[in-house]
Amino acid sequence: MRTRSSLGSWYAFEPDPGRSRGVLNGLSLPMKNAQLRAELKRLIVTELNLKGRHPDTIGDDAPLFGAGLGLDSLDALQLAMVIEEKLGVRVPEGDEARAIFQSVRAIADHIEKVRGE
Amino acid sequence: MSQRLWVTGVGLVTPLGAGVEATWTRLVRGDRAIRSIRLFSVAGQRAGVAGEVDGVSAPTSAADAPWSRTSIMAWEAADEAMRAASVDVRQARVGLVVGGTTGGMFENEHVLARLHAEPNCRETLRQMLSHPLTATGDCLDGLLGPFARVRTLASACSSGANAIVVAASWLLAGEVDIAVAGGSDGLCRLTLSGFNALGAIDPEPCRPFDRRRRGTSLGEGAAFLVLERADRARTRRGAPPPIAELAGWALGAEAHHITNPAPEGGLVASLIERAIARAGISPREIDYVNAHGTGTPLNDAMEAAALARALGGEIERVPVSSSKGQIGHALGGAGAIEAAITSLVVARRVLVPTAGLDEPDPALALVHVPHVGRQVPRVRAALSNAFGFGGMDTVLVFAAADRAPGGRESSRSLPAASPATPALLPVITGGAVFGICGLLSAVECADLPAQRFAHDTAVDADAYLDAARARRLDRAARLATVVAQRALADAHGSPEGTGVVFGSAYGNVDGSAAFMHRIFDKGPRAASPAEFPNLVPSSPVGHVSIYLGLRGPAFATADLSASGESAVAQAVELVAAGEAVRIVAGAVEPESAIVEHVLSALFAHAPSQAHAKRADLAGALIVESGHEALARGARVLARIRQVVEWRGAGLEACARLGPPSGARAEVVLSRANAQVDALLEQTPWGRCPRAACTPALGESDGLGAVAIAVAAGRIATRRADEALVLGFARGRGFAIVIER
Repeated sequence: MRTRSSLGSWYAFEPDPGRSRGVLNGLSLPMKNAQLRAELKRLIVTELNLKGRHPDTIGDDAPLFGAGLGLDSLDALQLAMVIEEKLGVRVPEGDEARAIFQSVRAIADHIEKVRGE
Repeated sequence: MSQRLWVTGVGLVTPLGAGVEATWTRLVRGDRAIRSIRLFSVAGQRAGVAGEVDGVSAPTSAADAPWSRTSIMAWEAADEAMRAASVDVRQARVGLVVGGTTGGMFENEHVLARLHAEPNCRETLRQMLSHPLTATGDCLDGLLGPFARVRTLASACSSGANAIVVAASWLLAGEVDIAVAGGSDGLCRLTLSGFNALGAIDPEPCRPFDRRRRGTSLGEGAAFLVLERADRARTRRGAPPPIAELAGWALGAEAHHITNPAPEGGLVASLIERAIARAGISPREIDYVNAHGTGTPLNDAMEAAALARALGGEIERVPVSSSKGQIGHALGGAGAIEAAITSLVVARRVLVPTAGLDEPDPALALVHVPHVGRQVPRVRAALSNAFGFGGMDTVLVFAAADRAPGGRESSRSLPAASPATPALLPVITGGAVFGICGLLSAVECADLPAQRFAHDTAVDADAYLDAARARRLDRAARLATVVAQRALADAHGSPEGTGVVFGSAYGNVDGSAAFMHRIFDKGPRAASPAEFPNLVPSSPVGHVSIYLGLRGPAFATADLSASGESAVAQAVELVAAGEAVRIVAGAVEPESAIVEHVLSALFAHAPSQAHAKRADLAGALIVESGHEALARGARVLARIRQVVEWRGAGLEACARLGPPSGARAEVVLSRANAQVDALLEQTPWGRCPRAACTPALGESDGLGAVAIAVAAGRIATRRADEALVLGFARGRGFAIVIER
C-alpha cells in the first residue's frame, strides 16, 4: 500500500521493486533527461563491467548493441534489471525492449515517458 | 575387433513418474507434468511453472548422510537401473559416474535463508558445505556400492550426457567391467530465478519447436544407465538382454557465449556428424532424434539448423521430438534422462512425442512427432542431444542392440582425434600455477615447496587479461583463464582440438549466496541475469573455453580437496581415449569467505588440523597425446606413467603402484599429514624424499594441480627422474606417477 505525497509521483518513494517510481541513490529530485542519460552511462559502465571506458565517451545516440558498444542480449537483460532496481522503471521484455535499448537517449526517453504517465 | 557397449539397465525418475514404466507410459501418451510449482513460493517470479517430482523421500537406511532431493532421485534411478541389469558390485569392478549441476542447492537455500537472517550463526554455517556436488556420488557409493571408481562431473545441461561418455571411456580402457552413469538435478529457487532473469522460461508449459514458443520449462529428475561391454555382458551371469547399444558419441565446446548458442549451430552439426561416424553408420540409418529442444527461440532454431546441416537430405525423413514439453528441463539430469528415453525408443520402437507442439514453427524444417507417441516398424539408430551453458555440447548415438555386426569396421574415416589411436599414455607439455606466488610456469614451480610467500599477497588476474573480453568473468573464471592461458603458452599448444577440465571442490558458494541474498532482499526480479551463469560449477571451464577459443571437450569435475587430481586424471582418460589431442586440466579455488568461515568453524576444535588462510589459487597442466606431442615436436615436461584412483582407505590401490625405477624419485603432496605418511609407508615410495605445497601456498582444495605442476617442473629441470603425486580427500584419493 503506497501513499503518494502531494508533491506528486516523482517523490513517491518506497522500496518497492518493480514499480515505476523510485529513488535514485537517495537523490530525491526529479531527473532531467540529461541527468538521466549521464546516470545511465554510469550504470552501463559499472554494471556491465566496461573497465577502462569512461561514461562520457558513450554517445547519447550511439548504438549500444552489435557494432556499437559491443553489448549483447545478456547485457540488455542485466541493464533492464539494473534500471528497474535503481531507477524504478520496468523495461518491457521482448521486441519492445529492442527499440528501447537502441541508445542511451532511447532508454532515457522511455524512462521519462513511463514516469510521466 | 569390435568393442560394443550395451545399455543393459535403465532407471528413471521424472515428473511423469518414478520408475521407467511409470514415466514411459505417460511419455508415450503425451501427458504433461508441468504445472504450478509447489516446492517453494514463486511469488514475484516471471514464470512459476515447472515439472516437479512428487514424493521424494530419503532412504531410511541412510540417515547418517545429508540427502538432497538431487541425491535421493539419483539413488532411486541408479537403484532401478542396477536391479534391472542385475549388477552386483561384489562380482565385478563397477564404476559410477554422476553428472549434476545444482546438487543440494534446494536444501542449501534453507541454510542461506537462515544465514541471511543471522549471518554469523555457527550452527548454520556448519551446514553450508554439507551438499557439495560430490555428495550424490558419495550417497550412492554408500548405499549401492562400494564402487571401484566414482567420478562427479558438471557441464550444466549436458552433465548427464557427459557422464555417459566418461563411462564409455572407462569401459573401453578396461578400467571397469560395468559402469553406472547418469545425472540428477533437483528444482530450486536459484535456477528458477536465474532462468527467469534470463527471460528463458515460458510462463506457460513450454512448447518446443512451436511457432509461439517463448522459453523452456524447468524440470527435475534423474536417470542412470548401466553400460557394459557386449562381450562381457554376453557371459555375465544374470545379465539381461541389452536394451540398446551406445554406439557413438561426440563432445566439444562452442567457445561462443556463456548463455547463447552459436546461431548457425556449427559445432553441434560437427558433433552430430562425428557421433554418427563413430557409430560406424550414416545419417541414412538414423531413425529418430531426441532433441535438446528446450523451447527457447534460440536453442530450437540453432538445433534445427545443426540437424539439417549434419543429416543433409535425411532431415526430411527423420522424426525429431523433445521431451521437455512433458517433463521440463532437468538441467544436470536432462542429458541422462533423455539418453535413457532415447535408448528405450530404440528398444521399443515407439517414438515419444513433443507435447505442447500445436503450431510447428515453419522456420524449422523438421519432421515432428506431435502430441502422442507412435509405434514404428524399426528404429535402427537414434540421436540424443544435450547442450550446456557455455556451449558445452554432447551428442550420443544409440543403436538397436541387434544391429548387424561390422558397422564399426565399415565406418568411413574417423576424425583426427579417433579412438583408433593405439594406447600411449599422454604426456605433460606445459603447466602453470597462479596464486600468491605470482604466475609461474611449471618449470618455475620446481622449487615452489621450499619457498614462502606472504599470504596476503594480492593476486592480480586483470593484469593478464583483456578487460573487454574478460568483463563477464568472475574471480574463479579469471584465475582459471590466466592459468590456462599461461599453461597453453608454456606448451606452445594450439587451441585447436584442445579441451578444458577444471576441478572445484564446492563450486561458486559465495556467488550463489550473494545471488540468493539479493532475491531474499529484493525479490526474484532482482536476480542478476549476468551473475547467474557464473553460478554453475562448470562456469570457469566455459569462460576459459570461450576466452581462449578451446573447442575440445569441456567440463568440470568435483572431488573435494582432490579436485585438481581428479581433473588431471579425467584429462588423461579423455586424451588416452582420443576425445581430444590435448586438455588444459587443473583446479581453481578463489578465496571464499564462506569456505574460509565454514572450515575454520569446523576445525576450531581440532588444532592439529589448523590451516592457513585460503588464498586465491589456480593450477593447470597441459595433458597431451603422446603422438601429438611427438608429431609437433613439443617439449615434453614429463610422461604420465600411472594413474590410480580409489575410494576408501586406498591401501589396496596403493599396492598397485609400481616401485620407483631409479634413485632420484620423489613424492610431491598437496598437504602432508599422518594419513599420507601411513599410506606411503605401504608403498615402495615410502623412503623417497617428499615435499608438500601447503607451507608455500597455504591450504586450498586446488593444491593437487599445483603438486602435479611442481612434480612436472622438477622432472623437466632434472631435479628428479620420476615423481609420485598423492592426493586425498575424505574417502577418496589419487596417485599419479610421472617420469622423464
